[in-house]
Amino acid sequence: MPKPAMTASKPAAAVLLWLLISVALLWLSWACATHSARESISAELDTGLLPRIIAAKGFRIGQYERDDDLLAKINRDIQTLKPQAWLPVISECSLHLQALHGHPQPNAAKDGLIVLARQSTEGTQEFAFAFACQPDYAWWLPTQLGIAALLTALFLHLPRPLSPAGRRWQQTLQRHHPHQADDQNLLQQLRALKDNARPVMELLLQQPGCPVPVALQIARQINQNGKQVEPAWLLKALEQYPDQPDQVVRVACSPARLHFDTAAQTAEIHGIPLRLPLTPFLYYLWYAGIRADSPADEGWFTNPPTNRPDYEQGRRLSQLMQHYGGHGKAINDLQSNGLKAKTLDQNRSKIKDELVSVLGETLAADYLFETARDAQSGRSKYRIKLPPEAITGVEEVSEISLNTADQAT
Amino acid sequence: MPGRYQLISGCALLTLISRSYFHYALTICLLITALVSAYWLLFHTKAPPLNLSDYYSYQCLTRPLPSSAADKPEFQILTVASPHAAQIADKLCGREDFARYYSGVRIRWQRRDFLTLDKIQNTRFDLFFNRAHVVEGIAPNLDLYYRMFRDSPHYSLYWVSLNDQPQMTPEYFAGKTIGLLADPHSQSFHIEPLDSLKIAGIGLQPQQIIFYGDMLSLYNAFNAGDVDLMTTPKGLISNNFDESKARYQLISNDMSPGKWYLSNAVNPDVHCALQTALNIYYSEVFPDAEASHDCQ
Repeated sequence: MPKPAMTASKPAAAVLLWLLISVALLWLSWACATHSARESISAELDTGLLPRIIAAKGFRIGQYERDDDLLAKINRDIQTLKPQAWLPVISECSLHLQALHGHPQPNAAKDGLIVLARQSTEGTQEFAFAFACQPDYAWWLPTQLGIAALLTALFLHLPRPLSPAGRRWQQTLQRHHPHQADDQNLLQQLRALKDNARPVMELLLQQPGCPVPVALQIARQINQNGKQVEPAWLLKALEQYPDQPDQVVRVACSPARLHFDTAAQTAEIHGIPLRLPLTPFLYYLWYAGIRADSPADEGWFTNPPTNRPDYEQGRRLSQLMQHYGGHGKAINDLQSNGLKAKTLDQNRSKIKDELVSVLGETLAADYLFETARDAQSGRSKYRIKLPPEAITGVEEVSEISLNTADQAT
Repeated sequence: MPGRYQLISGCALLTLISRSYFHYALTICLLITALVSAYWLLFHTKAPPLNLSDYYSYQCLTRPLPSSAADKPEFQILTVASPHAAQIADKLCGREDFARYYSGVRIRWQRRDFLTLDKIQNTRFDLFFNRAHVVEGIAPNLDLYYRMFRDSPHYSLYWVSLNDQPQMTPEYFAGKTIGLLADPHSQSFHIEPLDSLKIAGIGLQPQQIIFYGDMLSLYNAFNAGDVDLMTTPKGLISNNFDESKARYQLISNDMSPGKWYLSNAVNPDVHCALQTALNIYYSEVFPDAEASHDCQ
């Protein structure tokens, strides 16, 4: 269920808003009360008082009257009125009739003038009442301030409208994680992401298998590491570690490196450990050793001729295998028959199968072999595509088998 | 469960609000409209009924006497003008012989046409003042209920002008405007002036006659020069104009302001008190008239 947004408004802003709403409500309640009071009082004066001054036929009742007496008596009666309301705002209103003759005087009375007209024998007579009301402070102020507080709380809890960026996030969520598309909390976190983390986040959101909070965590951590992440590797990491965001981050941020852990029989490619079968692993290690020890533009090993296996290299490779506990059969074969081109091809193929099965062809490509034709012999030569400095864990290999970088003559 | 359903639909509404700036603004507008409407209803204020006193009456109470009966009625007087009304009432309230029969006095002043047949037939008032022709016109059998108690001295009525000497000739009145009271029952300020012009054979255009609702307006107009002429019972009432500039033309010296009529049901024991009280009225209003009825 989506929750309303709790904005991170500072208390000062909330108080200011409350004050503004209070002023508005005080004005509104006062205006409503005095307007209706004035209408009601006007009606009362019109039906109650004026017929006692001017009769229905239009004659003044007190035609011989001493006007100041009558005026004083009237004003004494209407001086204080206590209006009634469902919610009291006004405590009392005062009225004062200006005169029984003449025209209304412009008045600085607090709430203005009530002017009533009558048709009399002298023409239209206007009676102007100065009208002023007093608020019931004890009731009016606390209630309005209280209602203002409620409204302020309500306003702050209303979900804010989405900016265009926010709406984009929502659309992305809608497409891939529809159940969470209206989660205001999530949207707020998404909007708060730093610019660098956004492409990663967008990519992660598109993966149905990745829950949004996990994706957020990954994106933030990657952003914190400050590393540029390749999308393909990120997705691969996600695939390999579906419920381990830390691992995903590690792999995604990992350098493009091939590391051999001989104890675990594992080639760690871009952070992902691949356990290879023993013999292909050792051949991979051997190729890696050659590549790592050679200058960047070299590191090739040319296949031996098909009819003449390389006994020297076979001996060295068998020594390497023996050191790392390779299969006896492979070792014997190398020692007896030497290093054959066919064996090399087979093993390279196995390595490729293993890598591709986990990484896919595209990602595995840099960690597999490139081929060229040896200029002198015309035979194929192979090397690991990665540059030498990207290969680690093969320091011992050169000790165990001599540096045979140049088979080419 | 209804509660859960409402919560879900409420949350759905919240998400709708956040979809775009337009939705948000619309929601805020709707909230404000709802708030204003609610305030309009909640803070609707109504005035209480006005508690107005009777502006055209005066009351006083007699001193309670130990020997008199418990439930004494109030003595009701009707007259046409407020001057001296309080004095008449107070004089009565102060008299012991009057207090024996009445708990107090209420004197009202209204226009002459306030007195109607039903008020006479019901003897609504114990004592009233009005012109003979008005009363007799309303109730031919007045004697069944009331008798004439006190007549008034006669007074003189004049045309008055602040500009020149009025004369009862058509030539004088040509181009002049006169001010009258609109009340067709007013003898001095409506009936008599018009009749006097008729007697003198002077015909006025309608625009030459301006009617006013009360004396104050009439005096103001006369002083301001809005009308050239008005009538005055010279010496009878204090005039609100500059008498040094005034010129007079007699209309009639046989004007009666009215008579006092007393209900037949009133006990004769209070007649003396009433006469004494009315003496005040006459001594104030007609200072030149002879002293009237005396009793103890």
